[in-house]
Amino acid sequence: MKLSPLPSKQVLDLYYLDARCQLLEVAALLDRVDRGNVSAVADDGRLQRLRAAINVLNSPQDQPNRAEQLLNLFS
Amino acid sequence: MYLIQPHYHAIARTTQDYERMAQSGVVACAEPAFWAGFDRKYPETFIDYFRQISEFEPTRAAQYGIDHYCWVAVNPKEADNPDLSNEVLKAMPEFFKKPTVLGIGETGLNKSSKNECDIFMRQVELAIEYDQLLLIHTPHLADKIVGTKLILDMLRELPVNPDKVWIDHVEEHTIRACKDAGYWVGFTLYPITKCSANRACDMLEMYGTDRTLINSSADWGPSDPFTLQECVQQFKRRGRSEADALEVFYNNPCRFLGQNPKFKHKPIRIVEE
Repeated sequence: MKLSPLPSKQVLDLYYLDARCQLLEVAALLDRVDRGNVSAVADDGRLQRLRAAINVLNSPQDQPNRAEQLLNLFS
Repeated sequence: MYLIQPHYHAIARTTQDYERMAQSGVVACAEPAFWAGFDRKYPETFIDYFRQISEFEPTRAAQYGIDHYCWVAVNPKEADNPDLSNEVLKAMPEFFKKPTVLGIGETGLNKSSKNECDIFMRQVELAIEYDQLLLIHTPHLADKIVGTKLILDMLRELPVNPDKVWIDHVEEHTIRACKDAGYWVGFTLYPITKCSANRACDMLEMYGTDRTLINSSADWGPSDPFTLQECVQQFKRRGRSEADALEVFYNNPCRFLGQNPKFKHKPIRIVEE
């Protein structure tokens, strides 16, 4: 059985607030890192991967596979 | 650890909440008057609601050793109906005499309409006239920043004592202006649409713990009174002491709510033997 994708508007209706909430949590986490001794983690691969992941979120996509790209990034 | 839940809508919750809250250390809660999920038609409906939260709910909470207090107000959403609101306002002073009513709340703004602003100002004036504490709701989501600025502007026009005013549901973009003006602020730990436990802990680090009331505002929506306990847990995970947690989650509510002598709990501190 092949399932059709949700209409884009319906996706926003259903998930906009969830995404807003999740983005706020990421923003707050990065603020938290910066408020601490950020120079101590400048070379920390986890921070670098988080920043790379944000670039993936913001990039135009020929194919919608951002989640797959992020999982590859975190692998 | 002793806890106070300063913003909780018991009318929308089951008794199991009280039982579990008591088991987790909650010794007192306070219930503001709010929107019931539909617009009421009759002032008498509000008056019965005020009776329910000032007479019945204290008995339900007392079964589990929790002291239940409340606030009376016309909430911002229904304040858009001025005829109804003005009738309710006439009845409110009688409730200020009740032994568990702490003040006027939650008033404030929803969509920041002229009617809402008028009824908000009337309720601020009423709080000044009757020397009541004031609990102010700030709008949701995209309406929050405009509404909060408008509330601060309106408060500046009246001789309010900032010590007696709690501006609730502040977030990272509204906290600074409210604290700088000397008011108490509330962080509301409400899933998805308001503040999270971790962001609340962040704001405590950024702006200090004074004049801050952390609450769940659990109601008929997808909410949970135990977001408060989750916040205590996150606070301690960051290495904060039991004494620091007590300051934030028990002593601060005692200090604000205790400005009304009806509130019987007092700040406490941990002393080693």
